[in-house]
Amino acid sequence: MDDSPSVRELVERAVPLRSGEAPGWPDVLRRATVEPSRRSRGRLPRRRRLVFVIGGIALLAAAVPAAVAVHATIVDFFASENAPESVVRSFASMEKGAPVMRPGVIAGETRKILEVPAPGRRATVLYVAPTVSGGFCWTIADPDSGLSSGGCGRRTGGKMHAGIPFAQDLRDGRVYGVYAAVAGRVRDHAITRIELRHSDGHAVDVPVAWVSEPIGVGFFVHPIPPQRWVTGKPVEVVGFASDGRVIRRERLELEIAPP
Amino acid sequence: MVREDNDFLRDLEAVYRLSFHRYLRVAEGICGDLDLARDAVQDAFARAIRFRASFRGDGPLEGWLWKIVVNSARGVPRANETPGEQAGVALSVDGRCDGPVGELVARLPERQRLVLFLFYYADMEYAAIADTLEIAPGTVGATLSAARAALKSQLEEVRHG
Repeated sequence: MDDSPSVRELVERAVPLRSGEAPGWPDVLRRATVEPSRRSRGRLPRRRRLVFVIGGIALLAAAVPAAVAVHATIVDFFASENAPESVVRSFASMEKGAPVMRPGVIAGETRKILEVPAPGRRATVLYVAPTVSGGFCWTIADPDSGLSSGGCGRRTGGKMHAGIPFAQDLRDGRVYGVYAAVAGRVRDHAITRIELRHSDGHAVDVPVAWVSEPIGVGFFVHPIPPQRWVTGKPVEVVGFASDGRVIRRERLELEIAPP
Repeated sequence: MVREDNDFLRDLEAVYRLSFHRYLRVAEGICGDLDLARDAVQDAFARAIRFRASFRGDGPLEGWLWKIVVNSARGVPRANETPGEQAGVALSVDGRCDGPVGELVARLPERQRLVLFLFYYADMEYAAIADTLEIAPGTVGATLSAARAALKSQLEEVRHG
């Protein structure tokens, strides 16, 4: 075999073998959740990148139907504020359970997605983090009570999912605080408006926050006001198309006693 | 399924931490730029996570990853070569390369370079190289011989030119 030392040496010296620690694995996980076409590979000059971003926003705005523009907001996930350390730790704790229960949440990428004002209270906050399998985990936090409730989901599935996440401050067999909200996810872009109908006939529009890649679903949160908190009475969440058609309807019942 | 997923991700992370610099070396050879190569390797592992369902497990994980890394690096345009870098190779009195030796290799046709990198940097056998580059095993040997001959010829030219 013609493998003279000079050729081997030449090839070996052509590209040196680098040393040191490999770049962070979390960065690889983050890349895994973002479509390559949506991520800069670092070669576009800054000005061109800016033009692309502005152009992208303009296209996005043009593509959003008017009804969505009125009832929904579009949230750029990676441009959103990072969650505070305490919330990141809370997301990271999801990975400490039994292996089959771990959602693969990328806690370091948790973002503050939404603040929902409530009369006489501080705003409820929605935090969302991606998972390595392309899903997401979320938490609704009530700063007044210090309580939070959440879960994990996937971007594929039904057109809309609604529920009543709640949390209790339970100590020594006594309830010191309770919090509940009507909340859910929308996956079907045809749903442009969410209406919440209380048992007494009162109805409110609930805005949807569509979260960009790597999340790719819309979220809505509506803290239940004390005067509407009626145990055992159903509330209805209705998803409408822009032409007024009902696309999805869910009935929920508040089982937990009011504060 | 979740357990398998977590095991797979752990294996992937272990390979990443253990072999990053070997992948980086091949990627740098292909891209011609360290930063682009680092980006390509990280992208390759991100792709491996996204498309992990396509790993059938009938071969070594490292082999599957080599294919993804090579494809990722090949997707990156080679870094610009400056006229100065193209000028040639400087040799010291004992004939060892002291100048930009990479340029001799960089002048080879792409397939020859890929085969050289996988053979010397990744320590891969012909069959594995053939699988990674999706060419016939016989082609690997022929390409390697052609690359060595071309390099020897270039070295002679530099020595006597």
